[in-house]
Amino acid sequence: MLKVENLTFGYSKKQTTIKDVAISLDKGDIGVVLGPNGAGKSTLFKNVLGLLKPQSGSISVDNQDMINISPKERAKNIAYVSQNVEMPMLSVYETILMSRIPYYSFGPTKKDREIVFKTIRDFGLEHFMNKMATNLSGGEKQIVAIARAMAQEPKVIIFDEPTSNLDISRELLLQERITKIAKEKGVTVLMAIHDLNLAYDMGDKFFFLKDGEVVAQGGKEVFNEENIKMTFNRECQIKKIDEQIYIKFIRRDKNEKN
Amino acid sequence: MTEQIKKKKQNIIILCSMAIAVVLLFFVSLFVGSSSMKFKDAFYALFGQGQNNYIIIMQKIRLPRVIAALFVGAGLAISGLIMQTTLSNEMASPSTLGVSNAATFGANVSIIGFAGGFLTTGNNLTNYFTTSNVYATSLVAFIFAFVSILLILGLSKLRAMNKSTVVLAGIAMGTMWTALTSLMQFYATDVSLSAAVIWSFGDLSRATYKIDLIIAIVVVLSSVMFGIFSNKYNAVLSGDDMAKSVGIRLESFRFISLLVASLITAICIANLGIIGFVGIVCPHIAKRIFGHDHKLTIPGSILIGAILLLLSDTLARTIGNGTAIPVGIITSLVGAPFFIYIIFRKKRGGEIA
Repeated sequence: MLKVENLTFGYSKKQTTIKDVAISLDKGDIGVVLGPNGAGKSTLFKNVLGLLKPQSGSISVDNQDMINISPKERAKNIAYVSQNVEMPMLSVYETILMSRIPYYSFGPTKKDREIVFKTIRDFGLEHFMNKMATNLSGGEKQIVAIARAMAQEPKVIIFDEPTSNLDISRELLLQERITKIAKEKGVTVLMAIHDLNLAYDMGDKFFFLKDGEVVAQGGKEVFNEENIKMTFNRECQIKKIDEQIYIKFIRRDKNEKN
Repeated sequence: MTEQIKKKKQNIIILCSMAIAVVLLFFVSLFVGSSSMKFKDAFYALFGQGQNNYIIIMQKIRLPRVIAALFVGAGLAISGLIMQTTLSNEMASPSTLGVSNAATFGANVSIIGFAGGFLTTGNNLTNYFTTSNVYATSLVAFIFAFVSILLILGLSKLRAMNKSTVVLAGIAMGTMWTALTSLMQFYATDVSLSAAVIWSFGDLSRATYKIDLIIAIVVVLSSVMFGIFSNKYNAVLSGDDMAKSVGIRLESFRFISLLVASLITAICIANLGIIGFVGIVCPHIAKRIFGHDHKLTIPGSILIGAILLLLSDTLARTIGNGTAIPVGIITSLVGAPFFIYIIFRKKRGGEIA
């Protein structure tokens, strides 16, 4: 499905921000990229999305090359939900309609409009589809952003820190939505998320990213104290209770006192 | 669903009323002026009937002028809108990109350097007749405006068309053109200096059918192009990364849009002088009324631009007590306070225009 191999990118020729990154996800998988700020998560995503051109390596979706492909064809395969969702001063309907750009040449066809209406119904947005997207709450904007990505009918959706501005109930709702997208609609999800407990709960595959390199990867079994320490440079304790894990990071100042 | 249809209807009604207003103003503007002609005489003169001087006033002076007001207003407004959208900058306009300043410099080169024609040195009256050319100044102004745009866009392309780079480069370039203009004017003779200054007053009285035709073709064709891309402009409102992620080649799209928008302004300014603030004010009014959907703001800006310039020109010809004030002065006098209003309204919090 989504296959990233030997991906290397640097903002200048001298330094590389991400190096030899390899990611492999199957249809409907939720892949989680974990790492501290500056590890290269957003840079990695921008490369996969085609917003940046990798120096070397390959990216493919269903064995179709994603680097040397027209932006529209790429957009039919990969959609994006950005970190800080910026909403335009358009109605929610018009905002979601932009996701159909890869599919038409001059103007949206009847089919494009139908898909947008269907997505609006699926996400329960009917009651505010004529509202200005800028006037929505943070949680509502997030839902519109996800609906927009889904109306793009991609095979892969990339979420960059989707939960960073949400309260607990919105966060849970989002978690349910993303899981549904992956497991029911069969869309492959690649996401970055800061909350490790949430990450463990949602993810099928994990990629620990440190200084631009994947230092550990695999299924839930790679979620151990060692890998977390190596990636985040912090001691932690993990408790497993009934399939669920609880991670407690240890503060250095408290550690010294003990 | 019903709410959407209702809103759509309302917007169509507003656009239609604007179109009717344009047509009405076009005729009002045609029959109002500094000459004390009766409506009946003016009407007949328009079709070549009646007194000869009335026919000349109507057919040779007023009609080309009013047509110019219509298309220049529309053109400046639409190019302002496209610049604002593609640079995500509310204050983007022909003057922010230095287009007006470059055109002014070009006109000064032609008038002061070449005395209105090509390759004439100084104000040599003996060969003035053979070398002066009415279109020469416009042509040189246009060339400079266009070269300036190409320079800015070319430079910005090196930095991957970063939108703030474009605006900054435009401001810097504009300042440079202004300095060069001042330098030329410092060494100019009194006659050429006043000619150069008078050129920079935006004045529709310079319009001829030939100029009207050129402007109309450019404005109509580019408006159609902008209209076709309205969905893409809407996508650009969601930010660069989002626009790219739905498959828009943003750098080239921004380049072409800015190039066409600047071409409109360059042609208008080169032929008729600086007509300020239309490019900033009209898109803002359109956005106030319709929101930011380009399917509405593109026709909205065009109509508002035409209305504003027709109104300003009618005003310019009636308040001057016999002489027509250059319309550029009126638009700036109306535009500048409105501009200040926009800035302060934004500061007070709430929504941006």
